[in-house]
Amino acid sequence: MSDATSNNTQRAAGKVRWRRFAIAAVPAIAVAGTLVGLTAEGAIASSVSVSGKAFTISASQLSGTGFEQFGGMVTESNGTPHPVMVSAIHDAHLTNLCQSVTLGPITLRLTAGDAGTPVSAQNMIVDADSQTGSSAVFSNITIGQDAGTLTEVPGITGPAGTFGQQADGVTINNLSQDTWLTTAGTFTLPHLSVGFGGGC
Amino acid sequence: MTTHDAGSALGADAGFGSTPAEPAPLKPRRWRAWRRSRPFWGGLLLVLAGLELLAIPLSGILIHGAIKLVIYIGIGGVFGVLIGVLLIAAGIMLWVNPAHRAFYGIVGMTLAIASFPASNLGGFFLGMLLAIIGGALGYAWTPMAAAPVAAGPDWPASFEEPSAGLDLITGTSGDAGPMAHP
Repeated sequence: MSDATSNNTQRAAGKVRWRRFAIAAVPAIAVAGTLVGLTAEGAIASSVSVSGKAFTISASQLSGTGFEQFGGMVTESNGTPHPVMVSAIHDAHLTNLCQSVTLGPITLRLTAGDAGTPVSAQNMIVDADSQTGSSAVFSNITIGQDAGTLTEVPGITGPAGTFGQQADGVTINNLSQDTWLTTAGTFTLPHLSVGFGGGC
Repeated sequence: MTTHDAGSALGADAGFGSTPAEPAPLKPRRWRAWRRSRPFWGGLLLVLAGLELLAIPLSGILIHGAIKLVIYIGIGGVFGVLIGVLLIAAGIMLWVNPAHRAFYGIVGMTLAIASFPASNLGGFFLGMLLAIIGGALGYAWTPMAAAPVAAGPDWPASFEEPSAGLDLITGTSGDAGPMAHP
């Protein structure tokens, strides 16, 4: 460090020693890369919880056990209310999952479950203001049940006295939804790939 | 000798008075000195990473009620919030307490790695990368040993001051000081 004498400011200045930086950063990036790799193989489950409008999910097929759906209301930060459909699935499997998230100027596109093994999610809750599917099959569906008494997803009920429905099983083909809030206790994402640009 | 003391005191006052006359260069210089005397960029990246990790799950706090959101998020989301808060704390502590930069740097990098499974794939990679780089920058920052060189010019002034106290104790020139002042 021969340039230590070049500085003559009165306070003790400092600088980054880049070899020390590499000693710290390289192992950390190696560990992080291993985690990314294991997640991409589906060996590690990750926790996902996203809220905000610019978040789109699509999947060529969703199949799940334990399905609840009820109406809800979200309020934007500027006070505008939006009706949403809250869907909760206890145990979901998604084939060809695609999520796109807009973070400021960047749009991140995340795909998984497109190589044989589907994505699995536990206790997935989606607040969507639009939800489309080419076909849907429900087994043992109960329509018109009080949303406060739904039982298919433990711990999740709607506002008491409002419309709700639930089913033992659900299969939706070509699912696409614009969500305000998505959260899942655990997400297993086999064949994960993340790229920039382009929505789902 | 006492005239010289009064003169040096006046000179010091003039020196203080002259600096506010040119405030423009003073403030950036102080800001710059503050920045350079601690791992500023490492701390900043850690704070940004923490904010980014918090923003993804919590921007909906404006959309939903807070309690409802916590019920929705569950324990996994709480870990994500915790990691974000701790990253911000580590970044601020890097600024406030640079002496422990190695510890806070390692904490930042560890939190970054933990955020990948715990918090939206490390805030969709962005927060994780920011925190790894920020933590490593904090860890790698080292203060320069230039302080004694900078203190050099101040030494003569500090040698003058004991002489003033000495005059007061001996009492030889206690009255002469104000009289001699022109």
